[in-house]
Amino acid sequence: MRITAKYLLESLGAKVIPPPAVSQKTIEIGLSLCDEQYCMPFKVNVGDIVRAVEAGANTVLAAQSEGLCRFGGLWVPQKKIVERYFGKEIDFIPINQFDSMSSINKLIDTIKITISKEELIDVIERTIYKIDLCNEATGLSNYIRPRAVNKRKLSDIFWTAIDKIDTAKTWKDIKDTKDKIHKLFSDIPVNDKIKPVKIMLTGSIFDVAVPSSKFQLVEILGNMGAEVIPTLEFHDIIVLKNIAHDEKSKIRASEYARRNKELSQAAKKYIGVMASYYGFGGFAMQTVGNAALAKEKGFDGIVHIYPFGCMPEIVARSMLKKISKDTDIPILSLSIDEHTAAAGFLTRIEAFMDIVRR
Amino acid sequence: MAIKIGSPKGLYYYSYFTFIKTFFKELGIEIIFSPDTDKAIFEEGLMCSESELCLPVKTYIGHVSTLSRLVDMQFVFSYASIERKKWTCPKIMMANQMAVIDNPKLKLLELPILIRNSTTPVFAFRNIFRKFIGSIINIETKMIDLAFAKALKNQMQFQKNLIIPKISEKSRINIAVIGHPYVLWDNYLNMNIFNKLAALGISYATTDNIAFAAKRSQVKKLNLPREMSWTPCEEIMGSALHFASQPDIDGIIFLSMFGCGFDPISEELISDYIKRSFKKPFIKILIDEHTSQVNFDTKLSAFTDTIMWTKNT
Repeated sequence: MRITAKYLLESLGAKVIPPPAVSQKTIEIGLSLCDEQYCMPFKVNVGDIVRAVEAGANTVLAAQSEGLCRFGGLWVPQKKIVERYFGKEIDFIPINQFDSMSSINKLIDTIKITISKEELIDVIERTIYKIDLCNEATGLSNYIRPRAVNKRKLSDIFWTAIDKIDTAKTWKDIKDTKDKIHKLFSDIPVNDKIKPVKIMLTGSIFDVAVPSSKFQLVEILGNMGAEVIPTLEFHDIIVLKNIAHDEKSKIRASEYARRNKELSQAAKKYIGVMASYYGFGGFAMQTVGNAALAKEKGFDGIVHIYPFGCMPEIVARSMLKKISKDTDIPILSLSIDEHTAAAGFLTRIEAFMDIVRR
Repeated sequence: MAIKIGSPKGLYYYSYFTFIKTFFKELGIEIIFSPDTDKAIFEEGLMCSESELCLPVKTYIGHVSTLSRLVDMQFVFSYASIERKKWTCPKIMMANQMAVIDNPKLKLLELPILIRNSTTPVFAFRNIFRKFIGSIINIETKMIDLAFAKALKNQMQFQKNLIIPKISEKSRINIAVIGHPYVLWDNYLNMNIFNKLAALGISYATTDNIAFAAKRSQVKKLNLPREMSWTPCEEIMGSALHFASQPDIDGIIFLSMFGCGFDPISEELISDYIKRSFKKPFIKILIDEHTSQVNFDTKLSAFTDTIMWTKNT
């Protein structure tokens, strides 16, 4: 997410000041400024914004949507909090999930550059390609981890790959990166005889789709010999695909719609007709649908992860209990907040893995 | 033996009970409502639901569960959207589903209320009721329409009566209590605040005493860069700003529920504005399942005392 947004903006001619990687300090800043009842991503995000502004940023790119989840309008109180902290006005540019193009046009107006339409679409195409590459690297890493002989090297290789994607600039560079990534990963000796247990990772998008999520859940599970398959990808949150009207993105959009329909069909039994049609905020409908289909698709267990205070996922959690009973599949629900300690977290995952292996 | 039909008290029941009661009475359907919230119902709700849910939804689930022992079938409402272009909240929308998931024996007749996309909310409401009632009992559409019209009239009258100001000149201070309707009307959830205020000789006004349009026009004054697309959020913000601008209101109490996703947002957006522009005392009292009466009373009297002192000097 950070890489791609940065690339898009830099290609458009803006100077990007990304906040330092999320650390204890960031979280503490966020906590000290926010009401306790916000969800975790909100607090961390406020910490991030404060640190980025301290580093010299004057405009913040924020996401916005129209759904039931609080996420859609959260940048409004965020702006308020950050402005109160610094005592000056800070610009926020909302990127609307369903109308990305007009948001990007507004963005271009704000940073005062001239760019032709073709050029703009080209930049967006490249950005989408980068997102694809990130997904590919994550997928490869998830596949290889449980099968790899030397797991320790894998993490380094993964971050090298991500760095490579980050630094690529032109079309040629970006396309070359694909081969480079495959080459990097093929260096790791893999034992193909190992048949790892398959774990589905589902829940709030901030925890599922972000590889550097707080406790390295995927890494821990992978090192224990489980193949982790996340149900959500970056694509699901950035609907950039609607912008470029070429064949490839059309296919992608229709694939996305088909998958959603399948999930809502599966979830209907648990959440009722209305919610399966409209969803009930965030990606919670997808969470329930995925979990209901998990047994059919050959998964051995489900890890459901969400930040404390996330409204839709709490509802989904009630449904997951029932699904677990109905389809006889172990489900671990993890609620992440600022007090979650790594050790307690690890114990729960270990216990869960013992159940799955049986 | 006739089938006994019930309906739980909870969530937006408190906004629409006049409507619901009249409507079913006109159709000749006898409805048994669950008793007022008490400790037993509350505890049952806590037992039957996820720990991270908000308090009103937990209580609602307690009502459904308690009522299931008294009746054979329940009419329940899923309030997904009660206002054009606005949502309520994921938890309220899914409250009935969550109640059923934990207790599959429940027989619920669910009536989904979703008027987000319609340009004429009243007709949308009527269609929902026509379709729903028609699918359960064999009755003429005309009868349903008549019952609907009568119920709507009563509801309008009820809401109009609410708007008459309760503030009396005689009392020492006047306080505004803002919160969600399912908190303000439920004396268990709101810690009996209104009786306590009355005992202190303080008169009060609440969110429900303001007309709908007045609340919405107040929110526009905030000049938010983006409209908030949730009814609970708008209600709180609108009523807080309305009371802040009224000269005869001396202080504002915000009853916030643990687990409510929108309360922190509303508070964030209004508290600064109220304190800066109107210099009025504003307190948020957070209520969770461990809040005791004593704890609450202390906060309440500290707040009212402060106001009285400042007013006397």
